[in-house]
Amino acid sequence: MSTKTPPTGSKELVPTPPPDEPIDGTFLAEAAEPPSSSDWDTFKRLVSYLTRHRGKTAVVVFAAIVFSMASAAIPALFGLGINEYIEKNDLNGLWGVVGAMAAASAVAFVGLFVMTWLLADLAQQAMYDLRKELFEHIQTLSLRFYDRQPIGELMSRVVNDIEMINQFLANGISSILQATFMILALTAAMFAISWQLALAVLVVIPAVALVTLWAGRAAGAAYTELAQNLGELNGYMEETITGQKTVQAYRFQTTAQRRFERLSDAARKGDERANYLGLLTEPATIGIGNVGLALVGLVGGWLAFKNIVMVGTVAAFVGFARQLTFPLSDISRVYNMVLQAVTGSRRVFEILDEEPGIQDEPDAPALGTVAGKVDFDGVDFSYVPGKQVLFDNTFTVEPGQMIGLCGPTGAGKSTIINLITRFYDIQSGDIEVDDQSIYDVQKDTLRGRTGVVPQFPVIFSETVMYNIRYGRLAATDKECVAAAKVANAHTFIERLPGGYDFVLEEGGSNLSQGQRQLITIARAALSDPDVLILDEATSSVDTRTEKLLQEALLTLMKGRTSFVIAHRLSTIRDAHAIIALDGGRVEEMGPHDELIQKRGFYFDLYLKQFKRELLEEQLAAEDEEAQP
Amino acid sequence: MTGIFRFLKLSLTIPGAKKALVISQLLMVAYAFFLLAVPWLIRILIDEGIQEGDADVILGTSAIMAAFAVAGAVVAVAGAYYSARMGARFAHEIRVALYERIGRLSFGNLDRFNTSDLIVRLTSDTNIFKQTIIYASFYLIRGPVIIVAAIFAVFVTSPGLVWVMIATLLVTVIVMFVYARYAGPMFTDVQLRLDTVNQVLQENLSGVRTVKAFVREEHETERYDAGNDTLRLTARRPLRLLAVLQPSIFVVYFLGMTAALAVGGYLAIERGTVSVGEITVFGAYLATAMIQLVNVAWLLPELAKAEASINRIFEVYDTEAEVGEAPDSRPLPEIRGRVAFENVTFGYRDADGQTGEPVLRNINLVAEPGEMVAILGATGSGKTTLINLIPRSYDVGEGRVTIDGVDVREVQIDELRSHIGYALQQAILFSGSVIDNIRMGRPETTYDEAEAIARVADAHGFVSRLHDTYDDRVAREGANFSGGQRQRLSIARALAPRPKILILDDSTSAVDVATETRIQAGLLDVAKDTTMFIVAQRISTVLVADKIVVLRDGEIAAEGSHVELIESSDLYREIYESQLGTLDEARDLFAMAAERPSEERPEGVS
Repeated sequence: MSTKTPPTGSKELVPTPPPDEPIDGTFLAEAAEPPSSSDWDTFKRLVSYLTRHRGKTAVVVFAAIVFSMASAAIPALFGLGINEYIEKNDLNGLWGVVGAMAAASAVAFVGLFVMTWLLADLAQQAMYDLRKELFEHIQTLSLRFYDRQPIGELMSRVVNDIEMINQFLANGISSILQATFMILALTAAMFAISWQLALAVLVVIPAVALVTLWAGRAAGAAYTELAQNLGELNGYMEETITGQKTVQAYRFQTTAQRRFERLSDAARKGDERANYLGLLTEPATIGIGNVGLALVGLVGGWLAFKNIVMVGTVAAFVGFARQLTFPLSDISRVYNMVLQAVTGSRRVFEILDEEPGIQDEPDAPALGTVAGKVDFDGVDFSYVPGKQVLFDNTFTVEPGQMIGLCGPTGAGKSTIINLITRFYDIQSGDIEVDDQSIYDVQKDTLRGRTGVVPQFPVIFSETVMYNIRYGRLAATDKECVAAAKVANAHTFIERLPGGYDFVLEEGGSNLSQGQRQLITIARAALSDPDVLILDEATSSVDTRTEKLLQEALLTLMKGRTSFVIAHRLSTIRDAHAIIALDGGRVEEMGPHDELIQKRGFYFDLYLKQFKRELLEEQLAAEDEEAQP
Repeated sequence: MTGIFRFLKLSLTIPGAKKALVISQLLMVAYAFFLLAVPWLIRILIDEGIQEGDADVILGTSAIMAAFAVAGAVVAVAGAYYSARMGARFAHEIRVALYERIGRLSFGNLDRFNTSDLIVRLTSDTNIFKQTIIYASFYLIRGPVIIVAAIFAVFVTSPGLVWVMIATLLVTVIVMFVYARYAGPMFTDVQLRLDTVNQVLQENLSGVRTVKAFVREEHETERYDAGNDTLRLTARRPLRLLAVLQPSIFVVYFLGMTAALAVGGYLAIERGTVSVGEITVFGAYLATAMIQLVNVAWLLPELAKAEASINRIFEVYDTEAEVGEAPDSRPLPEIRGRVAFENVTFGYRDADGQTGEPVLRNINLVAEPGEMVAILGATGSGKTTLINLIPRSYDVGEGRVTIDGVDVREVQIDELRSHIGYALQQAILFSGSVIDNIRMGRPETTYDEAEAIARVADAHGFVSRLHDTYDDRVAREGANFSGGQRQRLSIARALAPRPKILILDDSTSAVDVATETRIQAGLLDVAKDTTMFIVAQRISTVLVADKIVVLRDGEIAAEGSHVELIESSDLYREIYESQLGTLDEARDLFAMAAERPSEERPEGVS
């Protein structure tokens, strides 16, 4: 008898903004071919999660055997009752058989109950273990792993694959166990009673197996095709719904409609086929089972006619044949589930087998508090082999200096700040903090001394307090509030309902962009880093928030070595030195005034934003006015 | 079930649907007949064949049984085909009809439904409905038929056992009902916990840089672990309930068999009213009926879900577009491009059609043909709202918007929009090729034209470096292009129809100032006769405009050219200085630039 669980809806995923540096698109889109391991190995590995608790596993198997034997006893006793008592008109004897059947029913109940109950424990424990392992492992992977695929894609893959595995562990395993032992027990019981009839019943099993295998395989293929069709359809649908306003602005509806209809029709055909193949196993199995029943009638009738068996035996075999259809149709139903779980777990295991990213050297020392001198010495770097992003970057930053990073899009600004925290390892050259190579110290302690304020604030859907405390978990409430004050965030937080206990929505959507930034500044302030890394958000027209942000950032940077991808004039001018980058090379480095005086690359870059001609015209007009 | 019935009524107009529906159900009834005929034949075989020792009956009945078994399977397989076909066809029709309807909604409707909601209705709601239709067509209608027929068959053959049958089925119903009653909320709980766990994962993945920067991997693992463990415990509960249900169903069947033997045996021995064959087939009838019952019981909650889904689908389907075509709307073949806002007030409508707080108040603004009008203001000041009134993305509340003196509401919508090139704030590209995207507003755009336009939008540079240049692949939502590249292609797309009115909503926010300057220079060069609206947050974007409109809280706070505003508007000067510094500094810079010998001046920063 079938068990179904409702499908799981998938949550809408927040896409992450693409990185500033252009990363080769094809590389992003195509993950490497998985190392081929056979389905059977994957299956065994999946099942090994389930059988970690030997004791419970043994009880489950034992209970499954008990259940199957008790179940097989029911038709046997039924036949016995007819043969020995009804045919012989022995009512008292019949009560004994009835009692035995009731007892067998009870035993079957207990057996199946114990089995399913413990299996529920084992299955959910296995799911827990798998999710935990996966999450823990993902934490160790380097950013190169994340660069290979959009986060949204990774997320939905993990969620869907885990759900497929869950379906199998929660429902499939139980059916397989139950069905396997049931078939074995029924077979044993049948042979014990009459080998001729047993053969008549079992003749159909190969037929059922063939149909199941064929339909299962065909349905599997059809579902894969359907998934592809639906993937294409839904992909097109999602982008045109997401961009519906653009579609309408360009009167593109008819064209989009045509393409959508074509894709939908392709999906319809796949849908039809997959569902048809999915549906037909059940009636086919029952049909074959009924042919088996006809065989029982024929052989049993002939045997009874020849007085080799009694009528009750035939009756018992009618029951056996009927009962055999349950496990058979169960197995045919579970077959697809197994295929999907194997596909899902192969992908999950692929992630689990991914080599952890950047590793410390063995016995690398911890990095204590540092003064904050940072050296780049001939640094070459590329995200993707063959596409170099930084060329021979060499510069020195003294402790406490604020460094502005400037340059056109794609010049390598974000890359430089990614390297200081050792998010990526460089190809050649060296990066040193306080004259110590960052590749010789424990990377976690390096990151403990650096603080990052990203351009797009990362907010967790927890309280404001939680979000600030993320900077230093051991911080007291008081310290968090102090950090919020440094970040100019205290005033607005006080005004939130519940103040610091105000719970933020996903992505901080119940705060303004500026407020989200203030919170991430407070977080960085709390962590009190020696080296601060800042990817400024572009300034906005909202001058009030702008002032708060500028102040907060300047306070935070005071006395720390800071690297800033600068968009704000105030930041740029206050910087001790500006590193002007172009095409991955350091073009110029020096204080703002000095670089301006130099009238080189930086001067031009800086001048660009003024729309020079227009301003000259304006200044000329003012000068004219000034003259009497 | 009103939604489902309404759909079925509508579906009868779909070609072939009625036929598929009728055929599938006829096949199912035929299947029911064959399914129930088999036990009937067993009884004959036992009672009249074996018990009477009649070899002919044994042989003949077995043959008929085999034939019926095959016939039943064939009929059911055909039924499966029609059910699957019908479901798939319905899903297709729903998708297409819904998609078409969404194309006719206006921005206001789209805001209220929001994207993910619409997508859910087109995907999972449609899917739930389809799957239920397929299962219902295959299991639901035949279920009661078979159950009633099975009871009837038992009643006819062995009236003494009919009560055993009815009692067993009743107990099954009760067991299923209790299960459904408790399992439903449990599954909702599991879903909730699963969402929580997935949200932690989602935040962890999208905030991976922050997690790593603060070395919070362990902390994240603990946070995940807490949710993970709760999920484990929650997900175990419905499974444990199932651990009670499953054996219960089996035991009910087994006890039914036991009762059949007891009651049947008693009646056979004491009264002789029941035959051995009848006792035997009782089990077969019981099993058949119980399987159907369990199937129907599984389906009923699914039906409730399908009803909810089809109603959500109808909700979109029944929505009237907020901006409609006027009955006597007129064409607008050629325009000069004078755009005027006359005393415009506007507020967004809520779900009940009520107009909310005005986000624009008393806007009076004229853009002369060929003028570049920049709109500057903080987030939420009403910039995007203002320009959306021109192509009738929304309709004004009070006042009117005119083009060449004609109220936009009197013009055919498609005609109106054919004159307007509009690069929306969210620069979305669509899967296909680069040229497909540029051509969206004017399919006949040639490669040469596309290239010329792309040069203006400063997109030709990176497009020409692509492997297949203008034929290169664009991934879904343009994911293989950076934000700045998407914006530049979106500007090119707006230029392709050679519009008289061009609207760029914050379309250069992701490109650097040098690039923006080049684009603006290009625009001023090729689109001299085009009236341009440029929405911006960055002051350098608006400097070159003929007219700058500063919006604050839905009202025009200042208006004029840069030269005028820097004198007259404190607000404007404040914004300017906060972003670019004081004018004196600029003066010094230019003085220095002038002094510089020209040969030292490096070429642009591209």
